[in-house]
Parts: sequence; C-alpha cells; structure tokens
Amino acid sequence: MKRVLIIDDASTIRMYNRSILEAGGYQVEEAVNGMEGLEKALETPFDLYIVDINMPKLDGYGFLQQLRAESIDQAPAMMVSTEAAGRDKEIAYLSGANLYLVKPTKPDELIAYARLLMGEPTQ
Amino acid sequence: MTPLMQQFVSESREQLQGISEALLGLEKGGDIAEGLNELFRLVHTLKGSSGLFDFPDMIRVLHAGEDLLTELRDHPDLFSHDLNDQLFDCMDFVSQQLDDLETNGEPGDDKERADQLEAALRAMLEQITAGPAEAGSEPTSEQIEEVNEADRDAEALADANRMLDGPDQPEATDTEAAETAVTSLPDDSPLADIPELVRHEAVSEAIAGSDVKLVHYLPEETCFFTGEDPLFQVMQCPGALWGTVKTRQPLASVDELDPFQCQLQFWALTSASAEELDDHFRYNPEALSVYSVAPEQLMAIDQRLPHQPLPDDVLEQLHHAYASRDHDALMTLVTHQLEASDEDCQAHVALRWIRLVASASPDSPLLENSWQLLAELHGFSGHHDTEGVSSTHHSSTNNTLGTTAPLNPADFSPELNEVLQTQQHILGLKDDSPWASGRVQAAGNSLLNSMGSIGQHDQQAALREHLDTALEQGDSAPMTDWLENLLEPASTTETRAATSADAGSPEVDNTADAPLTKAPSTEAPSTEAQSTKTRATDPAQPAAQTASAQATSESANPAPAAKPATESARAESQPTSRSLKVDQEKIDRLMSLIGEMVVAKNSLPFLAQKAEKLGIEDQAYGSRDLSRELKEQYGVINRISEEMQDAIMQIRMMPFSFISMRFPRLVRDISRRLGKDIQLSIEGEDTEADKNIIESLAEPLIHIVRNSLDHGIETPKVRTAAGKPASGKLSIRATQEADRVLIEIADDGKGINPDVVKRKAIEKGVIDEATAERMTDREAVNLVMAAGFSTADAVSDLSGRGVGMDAVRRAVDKVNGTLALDSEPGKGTRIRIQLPMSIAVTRVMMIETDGQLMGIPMDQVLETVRVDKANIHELKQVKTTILRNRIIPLKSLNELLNLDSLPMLNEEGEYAVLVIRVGAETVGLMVDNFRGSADIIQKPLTGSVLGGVSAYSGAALVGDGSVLMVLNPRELI
Repeated sequence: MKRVLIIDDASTIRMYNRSILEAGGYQVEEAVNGMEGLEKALETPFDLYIVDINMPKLDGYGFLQQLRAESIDQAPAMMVSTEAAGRDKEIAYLSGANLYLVKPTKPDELIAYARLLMGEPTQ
Repeated sequence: MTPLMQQFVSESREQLQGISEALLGLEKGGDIAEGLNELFRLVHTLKGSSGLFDFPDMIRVLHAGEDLLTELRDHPDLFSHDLNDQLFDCMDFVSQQLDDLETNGEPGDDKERADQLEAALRAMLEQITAGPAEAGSEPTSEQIEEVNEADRDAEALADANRMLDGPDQPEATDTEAAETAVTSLPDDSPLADIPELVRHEAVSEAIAGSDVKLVHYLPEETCFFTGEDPLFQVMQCPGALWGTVKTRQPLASVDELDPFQCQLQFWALTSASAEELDDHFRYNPEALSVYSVAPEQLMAIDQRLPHQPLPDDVLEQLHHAYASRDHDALMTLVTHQLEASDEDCQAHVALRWIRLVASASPDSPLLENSWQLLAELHGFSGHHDTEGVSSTHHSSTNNTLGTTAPLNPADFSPELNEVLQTQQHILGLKDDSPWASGRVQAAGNSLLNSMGSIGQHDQQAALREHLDTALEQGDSAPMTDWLENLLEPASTTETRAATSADAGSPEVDNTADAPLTKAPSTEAPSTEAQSTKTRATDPAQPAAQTASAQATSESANPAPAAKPATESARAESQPTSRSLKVDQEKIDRLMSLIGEMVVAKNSLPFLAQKAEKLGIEDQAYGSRDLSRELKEQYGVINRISEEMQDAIMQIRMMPFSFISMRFPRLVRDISRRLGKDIQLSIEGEDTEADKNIIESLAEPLIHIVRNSLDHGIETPKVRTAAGKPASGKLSIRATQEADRVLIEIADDGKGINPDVVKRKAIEKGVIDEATAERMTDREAVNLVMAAGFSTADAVSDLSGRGVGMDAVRRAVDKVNGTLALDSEPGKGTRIRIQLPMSIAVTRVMMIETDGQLMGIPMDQVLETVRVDKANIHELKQVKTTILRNRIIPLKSLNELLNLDSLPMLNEEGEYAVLVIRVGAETVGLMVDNFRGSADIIQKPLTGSVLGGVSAYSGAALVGDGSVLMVLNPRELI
C-alpha cells in the first residue's frame, strides 16, 4: 500500500485529508510540523508528501528544502495553502514542491493528483 | 455533527485560546514582532480549517483579521490597544459561532455582526496601510474570488461529509461516482427481469433528474430472530419502482431446509436519493448495497421477442428525421409505425424507447442511445455523422501503447496537464540552492509516476534516460526537451493549455520554437487563470484590498459606538467539554494495571479446579488451605483495582488553569471598562482536581473575581487618597493540601463593612437585632453569603460583596466544599474555598431500614449509637434523647421516607441511631440496623421519575450486585 505523509499543524485539515486519502486506499501518516515531518521521512520514506506552508518550528518551505537538499526523499510533494497568491506558489516550487493546491482541496481532485504523482493507474 | 466538525470545534477552541493569550501577551509588551507572527499563524490556521466548511460569516471575519495581521506583521510599530480590542471582538464572534455550531449543528446566522466586524477590521487596515489606494485595480476582483471560494467551500463540505458520514457504502451520490458504480453492477443483477414498462418509468425519472438505483438487500441469515421483516423492509423502500425476491442459492431439499434461516435476497429499483435509502435502511446498513443505474443500461431489448426488421423505406425515413434532428417528424413516424402492427417485436421495443426519449427530452444524449438500439437491430451505424467517432469512445489509451508516436495531449486529463506543466515550470527554475538537484529529481519522479499512472511505460523508460543525463550534467535541459516533445502537439490543439501554463515567469529559459512556453502574460503567474478567478497582480493587491476597505469604511464608522456592552460575557460563559485530554503516561499506567489484572484473573480457574478436587477428597485441611489462597488472590486483585481506580481518577483530573486561563482576559476587560488599574497574579495553575469539580467551580470563581473588581478594588484616585498604591492587587492561588484543594482569592480593596452588613441583614429579616448584637465582625461579614441576603438593592448600598454570594456558596456546597470569607475594612477581602480533589468515590455508611439497604455519606455521619427505648423523651412532640449532655432530636428514617413500619428494636430493647450532621445541626436518625461502611461510585439519579426525588443523592452498585440508594440528609430533613 502506498504511503502518504500529511504535514499540517491544523488537526482538522489533517483529519479531512486523511479521510480522503484513506478512502482512496492509501496508508496515511501525520506530522504536526516540518521537524516532525523530517523525522518521519528519515525513518521511512513516503510515496507522497502533502505539506502545509505555515507551521511552527519548521514551516513547509523549510521542510521541503531540507528534504531535497539532504536527499532524504525525492518523492513527489504537494504544497497546500489557503492562498492562491503567486508569491507563495513560486517559493513552493523553488523549495521543491511538485504541485501547489489551494485549500480546501476537493476530494476527487486530491485523489486524482495523488494517483498521478504516485504512479497509480488512472481510473 | 460530523466527526470532522467536532474536530474543527475542539481544535478551534484551542486556537482561540492561543490567540487570546497572544493578544494579552502583546499588551503586556515583550517581543511584539514575535507575538504578531504567532498571532498571524494562529489566525491563518484557524481560517484555513474553517475553509473546509460553509461558514461564510466566520471566514469573512477571519479573513479580514488575517489581512490586518499580515499588514501588522510588516509594521509592528502600528500595533495599538484599539486594534487589540477589535481583534478580541472578532475572536469572541468566532467563539460564539463555534458555540452555536456545537449546539445547533450550524453556526449562528449573524450576518450583521459579521458585516460590522469585517468593516471595522477593514477600516483599521486602511488606517494603517500607508498612502491611499492606487487606481486601476478592480474592486470587484476580491468579491469574485470570495464567491468562488464560497462555492468551493460548499462543495468541499458536501464531499467531506460524504467521506466522513459513515462506513464505505457502495452507492454513489454524485454522477461521476455513479458512472464507476455502473460498471460494478453484479453479474446476477436482475436488471433484465425488469418489465419494459417499469424501465420506461425509471428512464423517465432519470430524465427528470433523479438518480435511479438498484438496491440489493441481503439480510443476515439469522435476521428472523432479531425481529426483522426483510420483505416488508424492502417493500417499504422509498421511491420503489419495482422489486423482486430471489433465493441466495438453490434451495436445499425439504428435509434439509432450515426454514428459520433467511434464504432470500431482495432487489428493488428505486428513484430515492442516497440519503433516503440510508435513512430507510439505517438499522442494517451492512446488508444493503446500492448500485447506480444509468438510464442507458435500462434501455435494453428483450432478446426473447421475435426479430422482425422494419422495411427499408421506413428505416430510411426514420433515419432522415433522426439525422436532421426533426424530432416532431421522428415522433410521428415512430408512433405511426407502432400503431401499424400490434404484433410485438424487438424493433418495436427500440421504437418505444425512441418515442419515450423523444417526447420527454429530445435533446438528451439518450436519444442517441435509443436510436442505437434500432440501428444495431438493423446493422447500421447509430451516429449522426457516419465518419465521426462516438464521443463516448475516448478511452483508447491502448491505441498508443507500445508505439513511439507522440501522445495526444488533448486526451490528457486536466490534472495530468497541470502536473506536467508544473514540472516543466519547476525544471525551468534556476538558482544555486543546495536543493536544486533534489528538486530536479523530485520533478523527474513526479513525471515518471505520471507516465506510469496513464500506462505510458515506453515514455517512462525514455524519461528515465533523460533524467539520468540531466542529473549527470547538472542541467535539466534534457528533461525539458523531453517534456516539450511530449507537450508539443498541445501548442496547436490545446489553446487552453497555453493560457493556463505556469510558464509565464521570466526565469523560464526555453527554446523559441515552442510557443507554449512563451506565454506573454508575465503579470499573471497564477494557474488560476484557467478558472474564472481574476486576481490582481502582486504589487497591486494591497491596493485592491485598501480599495475595498475604503468602500466599507463608511459603514464601519458607527460600529465602535454601538459596541456591545457584553464585552466580557463571552469570557465568562462556562466551557463544558465532554472530552478529556489525557497525558499518555496516565494511559500507560492504566494499561500496565490491566495487564496485571489479566494475570491475576488467570489464577481463578486454577483455584476453582482445586475447589472441585477438594469436594471429591473432602479434606478439612485442604479447604483451609484453599481459603488462604483465595484470600491471597483477593489481596492481589484488590490492590490492582484500587490502583486502577486511582489511575482512572487521575485521568479525570484537570488543572486549575482550565478556569484560571480565562481570568486575564476577564480582568483586562472589566478593569478597562471601570477605569481601574489592576494587577492580577495567578499561582498554582497546575493544581489538579476532578473534572466535575473544576468545571463546577468556574462560574462561582468568576462571580468572586467580578465582585472584587466591581466593588472591592477602588479607582486609582480613591486609592491614592487613602494612601494605597494606585494599582490594585488581585491574587488567585490554588494549592493542594492532603486530599483537598484550596483556592484563595484575595484583593487589597476597601473590604466589607460589618456594621453595614448587620444593618442590611436585620432589614432583610435574615437575623434579629439581638443576634446582631452578639455577632463578631467576622460572623457579620459572612452574612453576605446567607440565603436571602443578597439582592441587587443590597449591593448598591453596601458597595461591597453581595452579588450572588449565596449562589457561590451553594455551588461550593454542591461539590462538598467549604467557603470562608475574611474582610478587613480598608485593607481588603480574602475568600478561601476548600474542595475535595475528587468526587468520584464516596465512602458511605450502610444502614438497614424496613428491610432495605441504604447509604449515607460518611462525611456527614458523626457516630452510631444504640439508644434504650427508656431514654427517649418527647419534648414539644419531638422525640429526643440526651447524648453526652447534649439534647439530640431524633427522627425516624421510615417516617422521613414515608414508610409505614416503625423503627425496630433489637433484643436488648434499643434503637439504632445514626447521629449525622446537617449543616450546623446534629440529628439522630432512627434506623433498623447498621451495616458497616463501603466505598462506592455514586451515579446520579436521572430520568423524569427518579430524577425528581431529592431525598436521594444517587445510587450505586454494591459488592453482591444489588443497588444501594444513597440518602441525601440535607434534603431529607
């Protein structure tokens, strides 16, 4: 079963995304900030990362930069944010995100992207 | 409420608390920039989570608050108290919405207040943003976006609820999922058995907009024993169009058949909504499968009918009418043809389908489906244009599999396009960051996976080579080349891709022959261009916001004047959380205790075996041995259960900070309103007590604090005149003493004047003058807590304590606490509350009366005595006795409980008397017998009958499993 790591400090958002991904047949783990995310990724790499931007301790940009720079994992990563603004998006791409989605993500959209990025056959 | 909403409410409460603390922290000074950052993050997160739901008012206010904080973060020097007030108001509003959400399942409809708050925030934002709004930005862009956001939110909510509402059920609630469900119709589905007329009806329903579903109901074989009537259940199915009953498998022979097992399965065709079905079958959701049925699946021809082709000339006329979309002519021809012969055949079935669709909805694509039926019967193509390809036959990915021909990006899903173009953009980024190479590899992995996802394994292999080359060379060019090749046809066939491409930013360094990558719109780097969102460019954005802020600022002006008087009402309301946050350690302890219990339990069967053997061998010594072992084992289990009880009580413990965290805000609001300067100190916030006690204490404590602020502490002017420091002190301290919790609230205000209290008490008839004469000052001051003393009128005269102090005392009494009040005029007032740490376990004295066992809380029992009948005297019709030179009134418990029998005497002619303390009085209760004491876990009496009986405080289970009623002597006497 493919594994997804959700990194978000908002438990409601984590629960929401988790329910969608679990319904899609994925194993989901959670981290509440970038530091915890890095720790989990170091333990066992994941097939996909879903990363929030604003978080205490280490934010989403910092998480991705570390993940990519230290070659901890180069698996695809989605960045999710409430802002559609261009600047956040550019920093996200520069930091190593592979997709930028605006919260709240629609379930079918999230699943469609997750399948593509994890190489699961499209339905 | 869905679990997601519950999660949202509980998380948001925490965030609001954090916001409140951050705001207070800002006022106290300290690192403003750091505080603002934290504040922004919290508000931002809160807004993000609320975006999952359709709460437009809440989101609007939070959005405005976030915008304001965004600006403040860049200009921390502009922070002010007024700003803080405004933000506090917003959080109160959000908190109110959460309360409503929790009680009513939806946030309150308070659009006006939201408008007011939003306008006020926008006005503040406008004040602090330097310079007037620049021209040229469209003020409506913000609104358009908000509308879109609201739509999206509503959709997301519906989706989320579907996800979370219950166990996975195969039914599909939206059209997209319906299509996938269609393919999974089981092989044994009885679709073909449905009479043509019913299918006509169902298709008409579908055309009218309902979702037609096939319901399969497979009850448990034992369902008859649970009182279920599956046939009735299915017959009552809402919106049922048709139903059938089938056996699950061929029935066994009569001798083997078990008639008490349900051998049947049930099918029904229905137009009911998924919700209606869920509701109807809510008691047996696991027995239910729902399949969406597309109308075209119902449009079938019964192959058992004879096949008589229509004459060629008729067919040609029909085809002409159909191809030219002349629906009237088609109808006429079809009707005519059907009337021409009354012998049924397959062609007629097809014609009837055409007639149905053409009359109900000639423009629906179903007409093509129905035409197809006729076409297939006669072996010609059913499409409008013979050379065209059916729009429904697009899933031809296997055509290109294994070939090197470029893929047609027109076939790509919007998601795939987005992924590919985003990676193209990422690969075009140039910087020297240490993660640049990782970024290329991640983009490569994303592309590889996408190709795998659509089954393009050849492309995947090619890409892998390009990726290796790119990583070797440290240049992403080989990959961008590959991507361009893949997407090239897009530039000619897909114009939409060009506008939505993310390649607009200037860093993209690409070859000139790909028009796609040279999108001219440098000012619109956002992919939202493909949706209807029109967002201003970055530099212009603040201008747009100020513009809209300006637009609303006019209405904002009267807002501060109309500030609600209940400014701190929110901070006072009692939070009753039904959930407990538990330290992991406490759970671990419980886990290990349970482990011990399991081991201890295992010794019991072994002992039972031993007892059995003893019965056979019958040895006196052995049974003593066994009894000793049993007692030993009892000791072990007893220890474990005591520890477990303690561990569970620990879990129920809550820190005092649960209430005290509301005081800083309360004190701040009240003192600002009264123009008093007050220093609040809180100590012992981590002192713990049972959840019930902590919760029941919140209200009284707030009362006391309010009193101190309102009436105790003077204004700075008065204080200075009295030679006291201008700022008053209020200290709240919680400490633990043995198994009691002590809470002390002290102020250095003007105290309570005992003479005024005495006068008032006499006026109110609480005491008479003679009593007042005898009273010490301390006793007099405590009169403020007497029932009937405090009224609003008493307060204004007294200018001291009084507001609901008797209510405070009652609340403390209720949890078995005590309350003491000390006051010195001119120096201040101190209130000490003593509480038990836990109320979960009560020690009771068990007594017997009229053959029934009852309990009385041990802390009210003074002693148990036997009183000889001769020593009972009647004084003024009251039975009394003398105990250690004190006259004790005696009451018969039977009488108090309206039981008819008289108290029993023992052989020596004595009554059993339980001496108890009720308030300040001592009373002797005559009972039949004493039965020792026990620890019980008291359960309150609930329900309409028992709940109203005040003579009992609760009931509990005792060792032998019988119910023990616990008396409430206070109410009884």
